[in-house]
Amino acid sequence: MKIKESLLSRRDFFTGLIYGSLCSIAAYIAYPVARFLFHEKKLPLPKAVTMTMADIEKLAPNSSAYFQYGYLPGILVRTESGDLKAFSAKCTHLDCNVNYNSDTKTFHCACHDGYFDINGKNIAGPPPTPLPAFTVKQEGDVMVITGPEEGGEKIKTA
Amino acid sequence: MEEQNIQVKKALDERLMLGALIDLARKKLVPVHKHTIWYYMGALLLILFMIQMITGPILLFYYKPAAETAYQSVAEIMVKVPYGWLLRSVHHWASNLMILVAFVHFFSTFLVKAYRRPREFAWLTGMVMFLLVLFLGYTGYTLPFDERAFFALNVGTDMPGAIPVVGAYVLEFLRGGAQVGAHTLNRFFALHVGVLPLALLAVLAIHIILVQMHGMSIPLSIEKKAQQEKKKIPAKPMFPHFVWHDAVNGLVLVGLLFTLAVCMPSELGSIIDYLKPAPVGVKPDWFFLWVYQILKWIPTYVLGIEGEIVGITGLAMVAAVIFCAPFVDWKSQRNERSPLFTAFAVISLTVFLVCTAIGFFF
Repeated sequence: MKIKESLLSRRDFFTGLIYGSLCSIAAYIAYPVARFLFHEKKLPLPKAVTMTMADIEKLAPNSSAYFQYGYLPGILVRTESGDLKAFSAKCTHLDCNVNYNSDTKTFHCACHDGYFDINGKNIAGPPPTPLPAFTVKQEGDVMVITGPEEGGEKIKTA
Repeated sequence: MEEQNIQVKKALDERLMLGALIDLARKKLVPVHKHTIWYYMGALLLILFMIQMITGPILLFYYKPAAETAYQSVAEIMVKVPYGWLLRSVHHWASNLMILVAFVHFFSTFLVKAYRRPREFAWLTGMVMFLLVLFLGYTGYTLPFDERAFFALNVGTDMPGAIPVVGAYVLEFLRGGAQVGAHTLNRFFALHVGVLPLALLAVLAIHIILVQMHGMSIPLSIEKKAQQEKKKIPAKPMFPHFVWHDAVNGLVLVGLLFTLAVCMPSELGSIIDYLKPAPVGVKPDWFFLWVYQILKWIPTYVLGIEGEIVGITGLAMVAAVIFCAPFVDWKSQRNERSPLFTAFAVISLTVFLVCTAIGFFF
């Protein structure tokens, strides 16, 4: 029944009320469930990590070592000339850890055969972007690794 | 004694109506023609699913689903728990066979276009189950939380991250954070033993009811031939003929399953080290080798778009077309020959087989 002044009939009104209530019940259930499932806070990456010079000195020229940069694995390389370079060890294709190959002086990701040169640049295979680079600086008897470099590749976070 | 048996039978029949069920099975006719062999796949899948539903919970008696304990508990199942190796290997091989038979069931029904009217919903439920089975296989092989599982988790959860707009949320939902870690294992465990099997069971019930209601689909070519020759397609009753065939197939399958489990027990890789490179030659399980191979081949950039995004979007689009086949293959729906979709099915099958083979051998 719909009276002249009314926008909608009584039946429409109650149908709307029922559907509206059902939707709000669904929202009441869905919201806490969604919050529950997405509870994990994004961990901030540290501003810097340090390594002792003693550890650094153990690293022979043309070799590499892994380090933890917050939740990211990092890779530190001493080049043949003795320079230190550090990168995120996560392949920019699908997140596998890369390996430093001292023979070819490249980083290799075994998951889908991706290659990066010694400067972290993607040179072959599917990786779309270079490895994000860190800054390595000596401060007293520790080596401070900060990253990613200004203007460099951004580290991929979720 | 005989009389007692008859009385028990009568009493049970009165309450459970077993006679009616057998009558129904006797009345149900299954067409017999050159493609009848494909009708056996469903029952095989059902048997394998039941094996999984038995061996899975048994493994849970010893499996400890946490990042610190998972690997060790699987190692214990393999070497310490009596017959643990056998149960885990049966579960492992049954999952592999289940996926293999699911592929056969899928490609056979796709090629004979069993999705034609009125079986659209049987097709849709089947496709949902196919995805669930693949996802069950994937979540299953990450649970030992070994090195292979770690890289499978990284690659597998990173891929949906490439989906536009919702990708980041899907990635975070699957990983339980930004990176693969302890939370990811918990989530995959919950999915593997809770969410996915229950979902599969629910969809399976609908699928079986629909298949029983509509009966088996007969390929168009056979229907047309029978029409031309004005002959009836021969059929046999489900019970006892096909139930008997299914039982024999099931027996052979169980024999094969145990042979595989005993001769090639499932492996456990090395323990996870978050700071180790992916081992050379690391590959996904065989049923994802085709995706792996395609992702490896795709160039870094296609028309200026990242290869990863192109690959994943492309695969998703192909999957969507297959999923919606009953609604886009108009010719089949009108009971006409549909060479376009036959070609599509043949190409899909060829790509799957060739990429899997290349991924496996190279």
